[in-house]
Amino acid sequence: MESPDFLGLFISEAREHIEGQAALLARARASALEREEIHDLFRHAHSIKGMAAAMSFPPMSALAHAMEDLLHLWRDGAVTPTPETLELLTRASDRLSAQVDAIAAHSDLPGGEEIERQIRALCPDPMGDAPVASTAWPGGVGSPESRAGGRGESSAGQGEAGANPMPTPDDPRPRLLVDIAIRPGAPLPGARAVVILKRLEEHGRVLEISPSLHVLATGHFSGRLRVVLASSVAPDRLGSIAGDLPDVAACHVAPAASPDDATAEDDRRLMQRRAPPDRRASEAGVPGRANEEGRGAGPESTGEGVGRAEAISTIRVATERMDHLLDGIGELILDRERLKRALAPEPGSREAEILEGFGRTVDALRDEVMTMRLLPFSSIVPRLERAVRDLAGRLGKDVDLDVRGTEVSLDRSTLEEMIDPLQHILRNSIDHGLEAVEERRTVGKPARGRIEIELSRRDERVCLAVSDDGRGMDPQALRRVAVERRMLSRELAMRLSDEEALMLVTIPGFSTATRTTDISGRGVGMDVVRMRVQKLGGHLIIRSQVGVGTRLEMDLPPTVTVTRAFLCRAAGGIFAVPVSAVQATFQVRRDSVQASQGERVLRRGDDLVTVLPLGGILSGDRAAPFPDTFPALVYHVGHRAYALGVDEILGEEPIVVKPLRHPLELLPQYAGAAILNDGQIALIVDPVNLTRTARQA
Amino acid sequence: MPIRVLVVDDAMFMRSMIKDILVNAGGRYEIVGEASNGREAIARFRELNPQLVTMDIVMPQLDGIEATREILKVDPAAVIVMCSAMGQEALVVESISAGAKDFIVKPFTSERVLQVLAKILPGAGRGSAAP
Repeated sequence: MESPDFLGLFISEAREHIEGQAALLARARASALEREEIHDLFRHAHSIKGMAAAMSFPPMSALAHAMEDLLHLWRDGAVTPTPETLELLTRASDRLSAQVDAIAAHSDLPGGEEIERQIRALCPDPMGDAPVASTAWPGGVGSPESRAGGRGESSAGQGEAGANPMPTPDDPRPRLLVDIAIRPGAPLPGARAVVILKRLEEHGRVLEISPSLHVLATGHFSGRLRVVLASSVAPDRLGSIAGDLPDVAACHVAPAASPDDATAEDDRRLMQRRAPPDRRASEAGVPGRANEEGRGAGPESTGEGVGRAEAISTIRVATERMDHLLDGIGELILDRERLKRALAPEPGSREAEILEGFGRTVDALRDEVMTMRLLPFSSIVPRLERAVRDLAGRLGKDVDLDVRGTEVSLDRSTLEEMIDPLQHILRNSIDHGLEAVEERRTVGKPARGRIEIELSRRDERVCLAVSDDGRGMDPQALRRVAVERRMLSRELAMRLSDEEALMLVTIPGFSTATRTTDISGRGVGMDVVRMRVQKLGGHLIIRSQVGVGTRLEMDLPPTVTVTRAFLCRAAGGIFAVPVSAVQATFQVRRDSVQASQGERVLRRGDDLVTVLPLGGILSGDRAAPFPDTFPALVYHVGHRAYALGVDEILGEEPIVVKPLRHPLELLPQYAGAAILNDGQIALIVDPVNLTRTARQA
Repeated sequence: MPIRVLVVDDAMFMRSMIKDILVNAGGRYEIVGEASNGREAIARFRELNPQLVTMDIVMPQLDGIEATREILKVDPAAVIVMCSAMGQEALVVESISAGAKDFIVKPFTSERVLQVLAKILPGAGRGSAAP
């Protein structure tokens, strides 16, 4: 029954608010918050409450409401938060998060009644407490419970602020959506809006307002007020009543459906702050006003008329649309290459000039879209912090999480896809890596375990490292397990370098085996982690020292989808090798290649380079003979240099990366598929993983 | 019958300005009293029973918001209009929440003051707005 689009918007906006909340609460645990920050906490809770109510998720709305009330008191100095208060709010925030997760997974919402009750217990009775009620709305706008008892048409009285914690019974009167534009330049537009609300309350019951009262009272109001009113007054008549008030530039009243009605889109639009631009506001000569929707309750605009230019400079776009845009640009890039070939213009000719200009535009467009999709790593930090808190709490371990380089940005989809693997890694660290407190004391480590997440830019890649100071993994033990489990022969196992032996934990099935024997101190789902990282075009390296800790390093491309690649011919097919993975290309003479310890190597400058035949590896014959001369691509795995020999390098071209579908994604040597100019499909070879495959074979 | 007004402001200059605007409104308003703080305002309200109060917010002894609350306890149908300076949005919102009917913003212009008052008074006169 829910429109999926609204549900998606709800989920993403609610998550943003919850994460904002979590970040502020984390800060609050470290040091006292500024009043503005407490405002923000309040605002997040308020927004969540309104959105959840509009989407008919009562457990969520009720919990957010309790938080809002407590935060209101905190903000006004009526309560002073203790560590227990912060802990409680954090738990509430975590619960909201779990509720959103459940909504996203279409499963039952976990309730929040117990937390809600505990929060309520911290709120003093608002009756007769002047400082508490100082900015409360006597009519209870935005706090429906305060009017639960009566259906009074007027609520101009005082002292009736929020005494009844019961949810509002449904008001049987029709719901009206009142959309009001305050005259630009009107003094104190927020106060004006409150006057209007009071007038509206004389004609019905205010169910929801946007933006919040808090925004209205703090000078952050943009001038667009939207109200859902339960009223038996005809919309036209209400429109003329409201339109007649001072400083009302335009007013539009339309019937709104009740929230459990399938057509309740208007209500939802209101709370999603996505109402269509008010035609009448524009007609009334308030250009720009209508565009301010979408800014909603946020405090972006400061004061009178200031910041309004910025107000219309941000819009919110569904990520799906961004994906379409990027796909379109990918196609455009390929078209450009096709055009170039089809026209084959003379250098300096008019056609060449036009093509060049076209190419520049396409590149600029691509860069623009890529940049648009970037999000700082900090946007997922609250979720990781929550995961650590949860797990540490559940397993009874004390853990500090330190995240550095959070300003480093990645493509939104990469970031999202990395949340699961990172949670896996953190779980492993806490569950298996970090020793119990007693054991840590015995070996002279601080009682609190430490996990560090570090991000850095390295050339065109983003390096993401997660390390812990736990017990580490023993490569020798891993080799032994692999042999015992008949996953490797003894000879092969002994040939593995330590780094390669550590990678054994990423073999499907291996991790569960080590987990049961509890040798590695690490294990669950590392195969999943490696696969996800590879799918994103990245690599996973594991370093570990027994007794000191483990460090997982992942390098990821910051952007996705369009990349430059060498197109190579090998084994009778065409393969693409990403340019970012290759340090150089050069021509190899067969007589410069020598055999050494079962490998074929050549000296290139100071490097001893291992030469691998691409065609040979792909067809299962690593030792396939080389032709007299052949081109090779140079790359590194760790500190070792490799040259990948191919039959021919056809050129360097932009390719559109398409992820491989199951079961092809299980092949680590391929990073995806590329669609070439002529429509042919080439598999994208990931040289690093190819090398590993070759060495394990 | 002119509407009987109590003007409350701690600054005599401001009271004079409002009186001037109201007195020159074609005989629609009659100034029946003045007060220079909240306490005085409450006393004068009880004594004069005015149909309209213009109430300054920031005043010594008892501020306009508290005075508004007290007056509304005396007469829930009292029509009180707040007089605010720019930048006092939160205080005005609080006053409105406390039950004031509307507000005007300093510096006052005659047109503006009369417009706001005209819109709230016809339907909100004494005895007609009680719930």
